[in-house]
Amino acid sequence: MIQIDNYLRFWGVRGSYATPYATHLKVGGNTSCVELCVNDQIIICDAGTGIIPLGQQLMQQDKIQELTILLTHYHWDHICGLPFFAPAFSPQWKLNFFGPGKSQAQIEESISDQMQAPYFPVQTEVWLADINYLKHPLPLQEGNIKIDTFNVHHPGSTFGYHMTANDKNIVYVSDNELNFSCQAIDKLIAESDAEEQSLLQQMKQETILKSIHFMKDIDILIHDSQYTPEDYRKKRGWGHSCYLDTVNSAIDANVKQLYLFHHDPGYNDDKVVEIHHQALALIQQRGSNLQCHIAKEETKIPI
Amino acid sequence: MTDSNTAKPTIVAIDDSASALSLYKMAIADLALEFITFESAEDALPYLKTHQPDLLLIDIIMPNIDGLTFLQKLRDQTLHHTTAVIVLSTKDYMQDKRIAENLGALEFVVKPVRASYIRDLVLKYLKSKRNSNDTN
Repeated sequence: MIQIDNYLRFWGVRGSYATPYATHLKVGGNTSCVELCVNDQIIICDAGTGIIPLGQQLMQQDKIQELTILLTHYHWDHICGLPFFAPAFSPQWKLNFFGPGKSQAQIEESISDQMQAPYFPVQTEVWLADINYLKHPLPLQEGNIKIDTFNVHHPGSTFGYHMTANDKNIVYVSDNELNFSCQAIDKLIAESDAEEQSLLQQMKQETILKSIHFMKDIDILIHDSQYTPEDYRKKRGWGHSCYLDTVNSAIDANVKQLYLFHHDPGYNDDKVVEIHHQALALIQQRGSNLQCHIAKEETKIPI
Repeated sequence: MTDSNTAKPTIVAIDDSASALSLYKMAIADLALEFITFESAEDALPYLKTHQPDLLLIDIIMPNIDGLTFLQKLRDQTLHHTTAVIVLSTKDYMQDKRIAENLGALEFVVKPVRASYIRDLVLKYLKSKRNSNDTN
């Protein structure tokens, strides 16, 4: 077997809650967690249940003893693996945390609150690792990896992350509702006078451009694609994207490789494969070169 | 507090959308106001360190610091404990509305809105502030 030293690996790809059901396990049942390893520097994006097996694997080696965890936000499915993350309980490890918040103290509070009584038996005080909360603002340079953030459309302050490593641009956006306001602008245009219409038209163009700005010409995009169009109609305003919007945006932004991510927990393996087929058909129909994949647990991508 | 240099009420808008700022400008063009705009929270910070506008309009999704995190930082400053703030955003989410409310925002307006709505909103809060000042 060829050893890959620099890679991106999916440890958790499921949105909202873990799905340890036989019908879901080809895609994967753990919630959001993606590992980026470049020249022995490890960056972990989100700490859903996928971080638990990652932590167990990290404890099997002693070459790397420091890593950085980037949290997009603090909704349960993105932090619920942390109380079971083995390196946090080991004095050999140094863990750096970063996420939304006005200060390092607020990042710490957002992480540790889930372990307060009566929700968990032990608090973060029992963590033995050297824990650091990184200071805003980024960009941050962790070894050979440059990291920057941007704000996305999801309830509460939520980050997307742009990482550059080995000349590859990787964008991780676990939760983001694309194309949320275009319909509302159209409705307003119909009611407005000429001067206001012109401004609203500009606003619509601006909105479309801004919604894809963060993914422009990106090599690897990992993006929320939680819903089918039918389900999105029922769940508009829940903070997640319809996969068609994700694929169309990736095509418009000239993304090279798209990984459909944050799969709805209600979708079994067959359903996710069907979504992937529909996505590929759309790409072909639009004559695009976009390579589109399903983010599956244990998939490892060379970087 | 009205900006002493202008004697006119001061409205500050922070939004990275040029068209939104133009819409606000159009909405209040005929009102006797000082209207100051910034395209990011960082850009507004030096001004807001020394000025308390009569009304602050703030977007949420912007480059770098988002509007709600910025509002938290602003409330930590004595000068802005009571600054009148309206949050305007496309984020039509209960969580954002609750955060804004807890940070003392007067209203949470879901964008896009018509210019006439902005005009009425500005007039409503300036009038309310004037009445409050008269009473005091």
